[in-house]
Amino acid sequence: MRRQVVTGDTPLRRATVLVLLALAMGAVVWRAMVLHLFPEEVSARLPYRVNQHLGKMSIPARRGEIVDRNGEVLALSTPMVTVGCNPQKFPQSREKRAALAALLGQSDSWLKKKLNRYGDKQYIPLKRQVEPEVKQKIAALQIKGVEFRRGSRRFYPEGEAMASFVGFTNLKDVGQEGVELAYNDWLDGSPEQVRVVRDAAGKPIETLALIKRGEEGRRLHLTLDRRLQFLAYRSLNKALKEHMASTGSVVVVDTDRSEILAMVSLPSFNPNDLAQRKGGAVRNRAVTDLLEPGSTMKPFTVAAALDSGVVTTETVIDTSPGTFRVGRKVIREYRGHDYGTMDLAKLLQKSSNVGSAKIALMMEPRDYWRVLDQAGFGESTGSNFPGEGAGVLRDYARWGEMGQAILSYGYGVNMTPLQLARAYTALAEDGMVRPITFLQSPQGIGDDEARRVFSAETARNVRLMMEGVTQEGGTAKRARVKEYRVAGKTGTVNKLVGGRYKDKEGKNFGHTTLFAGLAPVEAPRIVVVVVVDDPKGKKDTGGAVAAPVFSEVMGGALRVMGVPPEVADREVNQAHG
Amino acid sequence: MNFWYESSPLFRSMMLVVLVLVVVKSAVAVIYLKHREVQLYITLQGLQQQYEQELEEMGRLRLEEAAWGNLARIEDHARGKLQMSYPAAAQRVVIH
Repeated sequence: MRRQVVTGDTPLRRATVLVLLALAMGAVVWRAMVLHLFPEEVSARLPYRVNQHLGKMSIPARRGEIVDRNGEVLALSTPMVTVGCNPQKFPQSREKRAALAALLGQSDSWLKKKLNRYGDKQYIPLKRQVEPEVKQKIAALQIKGVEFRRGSRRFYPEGEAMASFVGFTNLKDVGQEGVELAYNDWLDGSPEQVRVVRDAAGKPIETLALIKRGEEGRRLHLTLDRRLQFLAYRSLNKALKEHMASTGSVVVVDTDRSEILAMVSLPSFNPNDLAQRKGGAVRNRAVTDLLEPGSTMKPFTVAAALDSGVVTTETVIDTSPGTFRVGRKVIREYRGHDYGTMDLAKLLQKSSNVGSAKIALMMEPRDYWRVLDQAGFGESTGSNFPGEGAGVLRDYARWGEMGQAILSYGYGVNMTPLQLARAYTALAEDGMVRPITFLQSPQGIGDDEARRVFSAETARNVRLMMEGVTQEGGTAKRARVKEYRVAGKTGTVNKLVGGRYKDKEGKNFGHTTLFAGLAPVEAPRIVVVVVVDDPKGKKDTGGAVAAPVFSEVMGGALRVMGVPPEVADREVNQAHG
Repeated sequence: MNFWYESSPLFRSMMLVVLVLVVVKSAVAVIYLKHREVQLYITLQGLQQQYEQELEEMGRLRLEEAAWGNLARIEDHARGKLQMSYPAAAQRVVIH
């Protein structure tokens, strides 16, 4: 069968149709290509059509949490919403404005003023840190121009006990004090920005490109123990109240790993309450306040003397009549005692100023200086805490005889409580001292960073002498911890204000009481330093004020760290029961 | 020079049909995959949002846990409500 020829089917007509179709197709293909290859260019030329489908999306990053040595939360960020609005888009409806103002906890006139004042702005924040429920209520109002931006708020569940150590962040989640400031870069996350295609409802449907790589905030693992910190905080707080003292601090150090277990500074503040974050309360006194160590220095004087060989454990010193003239200055015992002749153990037990001055002057200044310098006097502890003080230990060439004598009982030198604690780790760790840390790491601080201050034998001898301080006849029987042997030293220091110890009327500027000690004596694990500033009660010595705090904190620390009670106590217990 | 299939009209027409079908099929597949991509992307977004919400929830719960576990609070309860007290030194015996 022959095919019918369609009327008008000419080659010209076919060619025309073909060309037209090809052109149309070419145009479509060209457009598709352009749209795919150069979306930005198109969106710039057609801002209203395409721009609403292309946009940036930012994926928020949370600030890392801070946890204690057991992983318990010390600081945590939770998402909050910032409510803001575009004043140019905001409707002129009074009702809606009043409703929004009410939900924001403000008055209608406040909002009106704000809208008028910033009328030329594209965006103004109205309220930060709005809770999700409130946000939903505001969203339900469906007011044009109101925007929600993601923010977060940081919480500190431990409150006052941890406040001066952990610090806090500002409204923009940037660290302001303490660890939050010191490790801001580590904790801080940066949001990721991507270019996305959105559908008509504004939902992202495709990711086109990464604009900026973001990073989640990292978690900071501290060596502090929440329980010990609380115990230290509570004990110190009680002592401050009981003795009407103004400020105080406690430092607890694990000597094996050179880690800080607790660090309390009082008065404290509630970091969750913005209004309280100011003044002296935010200062971490344990690392920023410099004080003269007073008698807590004497163990180092004795250790230096033993180590340099000018005395032995059997040396007897005559301290009669309780005064000792060096140049123009007369050194006196505390409250004018006269202890007669004494050995080194009794020197520490009674805290004799005359005795320490005498043995200090037997030493070459250089030998004495070397021990103090190695123990970290006048040197930062390496903890990297913000605002950490390094203290001052003058060069021995500038001491003079009197400088050397008063140095022996802790005057003319200053240091932070943390430095004092670190120096005591030398006694605990058989003469070795290491940098101190509050960051958890698997291996702790290596032995290659350790250095020798004095011999192991000296350290052990001094520890045994210091044990006498807490025994019958010592200055700090109240520092004892049941079931453990503890060694320590009291200190009661006149305060130095502007280079003077007395004001114009010849009165003292008050004084500072200290107790520094370690336990167990045979194989020390813990060093505790307690400082109570300006006690005003009747009993105002280191032995009466600081020692009981030491006893409580040390007892708790030994238990928390699982240090077994010492065998020497067994017979006592068996005898009793 | 002619290949054998070029001279076979039957084969040529069959080939044409097959190729047209393949092209159409591939076009449909492209459309389908694009659609699928959008669908999966939306699911991903949903899951990411859910993840965020779960994280939020976890943060809230951890805070709540920390608040309940606050040692000052526990001590208050132990001393106040439960009338507990810390044993004095004389009441303690260490078992070795």
